[in-house]
Amino acid sequence: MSIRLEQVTKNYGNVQGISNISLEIESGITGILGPNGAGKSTTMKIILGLSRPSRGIVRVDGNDPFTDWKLKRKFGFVPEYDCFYEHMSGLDYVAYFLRMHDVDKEEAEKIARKALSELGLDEAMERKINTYSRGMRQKTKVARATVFDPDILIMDEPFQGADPTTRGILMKKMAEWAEKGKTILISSHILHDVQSMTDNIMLINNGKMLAYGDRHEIRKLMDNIPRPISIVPLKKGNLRNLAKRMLDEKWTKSTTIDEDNNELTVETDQSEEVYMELPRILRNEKISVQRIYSEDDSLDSLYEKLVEGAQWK
Amino acid sequence: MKKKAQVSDRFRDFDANLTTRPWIVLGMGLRRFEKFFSTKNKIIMGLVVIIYLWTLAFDVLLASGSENYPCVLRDNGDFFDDDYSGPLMVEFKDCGPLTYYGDLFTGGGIRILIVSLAAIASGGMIGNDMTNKSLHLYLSRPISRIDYLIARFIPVFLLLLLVTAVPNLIVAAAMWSDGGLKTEWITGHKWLIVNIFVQGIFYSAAYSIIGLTFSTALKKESNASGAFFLFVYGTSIIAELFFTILKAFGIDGADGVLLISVSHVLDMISYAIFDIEYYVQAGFAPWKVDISDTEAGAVFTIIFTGCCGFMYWMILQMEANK
Amino acid sequence: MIKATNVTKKYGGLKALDDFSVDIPEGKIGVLGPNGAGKSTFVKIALGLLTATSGEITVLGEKLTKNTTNIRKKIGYMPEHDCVPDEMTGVEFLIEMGMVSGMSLAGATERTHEILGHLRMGEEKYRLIGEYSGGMRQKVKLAQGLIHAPELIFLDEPTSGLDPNARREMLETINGLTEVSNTKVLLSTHILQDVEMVCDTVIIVKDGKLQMQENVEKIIGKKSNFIQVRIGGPVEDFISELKKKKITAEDDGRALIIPYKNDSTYDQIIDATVKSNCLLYEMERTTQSMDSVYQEIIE
Repeated sequence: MSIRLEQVTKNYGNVQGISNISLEIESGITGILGPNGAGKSTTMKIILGLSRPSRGIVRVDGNDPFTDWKLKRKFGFVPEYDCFYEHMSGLDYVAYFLRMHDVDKEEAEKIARKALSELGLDEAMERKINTYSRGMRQKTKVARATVFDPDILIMDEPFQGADPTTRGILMKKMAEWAEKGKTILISSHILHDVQSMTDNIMLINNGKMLAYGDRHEIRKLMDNIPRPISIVPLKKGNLRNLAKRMLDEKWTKSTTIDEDNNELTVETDQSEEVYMELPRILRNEKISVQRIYSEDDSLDSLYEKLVEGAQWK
Repeated sequence: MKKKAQVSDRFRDFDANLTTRPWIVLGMGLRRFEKFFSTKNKIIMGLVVIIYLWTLAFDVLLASGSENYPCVLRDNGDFFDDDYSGPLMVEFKDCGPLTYYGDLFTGGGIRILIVSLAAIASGGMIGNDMTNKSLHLYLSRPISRIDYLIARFIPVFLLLLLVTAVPNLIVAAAMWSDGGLKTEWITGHKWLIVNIFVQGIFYSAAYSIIGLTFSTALKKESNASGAFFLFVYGTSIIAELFFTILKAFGIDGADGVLLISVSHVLDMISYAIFDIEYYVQAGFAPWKVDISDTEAGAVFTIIFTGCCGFMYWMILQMEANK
Repeated sequence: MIKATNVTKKYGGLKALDDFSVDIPEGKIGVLGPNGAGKSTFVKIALGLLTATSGEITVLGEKLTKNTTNIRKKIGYMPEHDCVPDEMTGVEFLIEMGMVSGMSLAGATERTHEILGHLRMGEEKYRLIGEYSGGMRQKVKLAQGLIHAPELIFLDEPTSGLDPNARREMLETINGLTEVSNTKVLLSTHILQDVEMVCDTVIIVKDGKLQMQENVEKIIGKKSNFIQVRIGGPVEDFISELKKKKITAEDDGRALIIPYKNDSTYDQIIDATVKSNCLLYEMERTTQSMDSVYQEIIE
């Protein structure tokens, strides 16, 4: 199921929500990143049809989510804030929502039980929600949102406050759902988690979309920022030879040798060329290496550069 | 010539040089006391000013002179038969420092102002720390839970002392100067001065502790202030009402009703400090009360330890949960 | 730094700590574990705020038996939940906290401004805390823990709810302020990368018991028997080139995973890249991640 935004702007009075965002989201996991107050939640609400854009068009599966009520059944939403009936048990809570959708009582309990136990809430589901830890609450929210088997799953900070085990379970589940062809949108402040789930990201700051797509491709588009590529030869003695050889190439802007870590770092603004040529050079010079990587490949580094606005400098 | 240059490190080592617990607690208390007199606390300052004006007006300027100070023996004998032995008192002592804590309507005292002040000053003292959870931060400092309670008790206590013992001492000083500033006056009244002190400390401490307990229990500042005021004043009015009705019907044991009113219990002890027979001014007549000092003392001890214990328990509880 | 022997803590029938023994070396320690594992209880006992039902605990060389208040002169504490008062300004609050720790007014003021400077708080330090953003409140919370220059600071979830930049800044400040004054750190968190960034030793607690204690570098430096390769261009050709060398590459959706035999495997990968005209973006032996170690211990 595809989600399409065309020049969508949303203002709350004179407060800016998001401004002029256009993108198309396909199935799979997409991470929505950005500082607090950047407009992540607004974007989610607009896709969910909970609020109407001030300008622009939103289409989910070709329909407007704000007016098309049938579409709501295809959405599963995990809000950032807790919205429980604290005195209910997790099981009752999930079943209650199922029954609102005309599922009969026994069936609802069966489905709810299955959904909760898949998320590892076997023992806790009969307990009242006000005894739950943060992780259990998040799992209950996810269970409630996914129990209808929605095609589109939108989660606002689902990992907040959850312990690593809970995060692990949720991530595994999300990978499964993505495999089944669902469209999943996740916002998270823990970039490492996003990086381990997906390469597809959308980055917002100040209501403006800074970048969208595969993070490696995004980095390639920012070739005006020199990229450091690090090479670790097997033998330390080769470090200086390799550095000298690299300086012969026109794409090398500078080289740095880190003797302690046995590492040579080449700065370049033509990284594709380097990636193509480097293996040849290594083979011709008969220098064995054990590691080739770029600091810039991490989502952390990309995030920092984009939020700082390095792509415009 | 070589010129000197220096680049500082970004982070540097720091020696905090910490003082000991008593000073920390005292400092905390005094800083909080100081805050009462900031421009934000207009109501508190206003109340203090009113109390002082009242005392100056009625107990100093309009008072009948030093020969009637501190106590006047009043005789209602004209209204009674010679062999009267009912619940009303024929002769009773009317003492300035005691009526000061009495009711505005029956005795010309300023209890209502003192209780209001205690309610407003103590309302948010502990409750606010619990609501915004900064209590956890205070308790992670090198002070114990009791230290914390003392530090929160000090400001309210000092403020109340300012409207209990201090005005009464001023009145005493005024009377001394009225009597010609003789040293004999001081030696003749030394127990009076000590008693005024003890009584002031007693009332201030008692109201502070009860106020802080309400603050701890209800957490929300306005609720705590309101509840404290209603508790002290409400029980007092109810107790007095029942007392008068029961007395009028001549029912035995009516005196016990007064023990449900905190302010009456405090008055009983206060009268005991001055060694004067306790009576209740209700319906503009003084009623005998047959409650022994030990009974009053026991009730007070229960209230006092109950309050302290409750506060300590609440703080302990909050910590264990989070 | 902290030594606990057979510490048990019961709340009614519930055992928060169950015969818990640990000998934590000096330095920066990360404490991991699921919710309700007993981490907070352990920290509270080490702070002298709670007394253990049984067992013995020594913190910074002092036995915590009767005199539990003085130990807090040497310890700073940053709780997890929001606990700063709205109605004070940042500076007012920190000076008050400094003085409640026993500092003089002058000392507390000096230290307050120094720490807030490191935390990059500008003029807003004179504004009411109620007007602060989440990140700024978090900074104030950290600052109050460090105000009295403690020997050891307990940090409970210091980065929870922060956005990535605020999180990095918070971790950098923790590192900076603690390294120079040689402050020891006990960091309890759910985000394993925080531990990698700050700590040198990690302990894992579960069900009130110590499950593991290990050097962080040892954990994340442990190499696996796989090489992760990211390739651009005709990937199919690359895979078939490898096949000729009797090496099977597995695609995990984002990178190719190639079994490591010996150092010559690297050369063969390079060779295959050249022959298939591919771009070589990344090639490295994968290492054990904190996540996998944690999952293993917990399950």
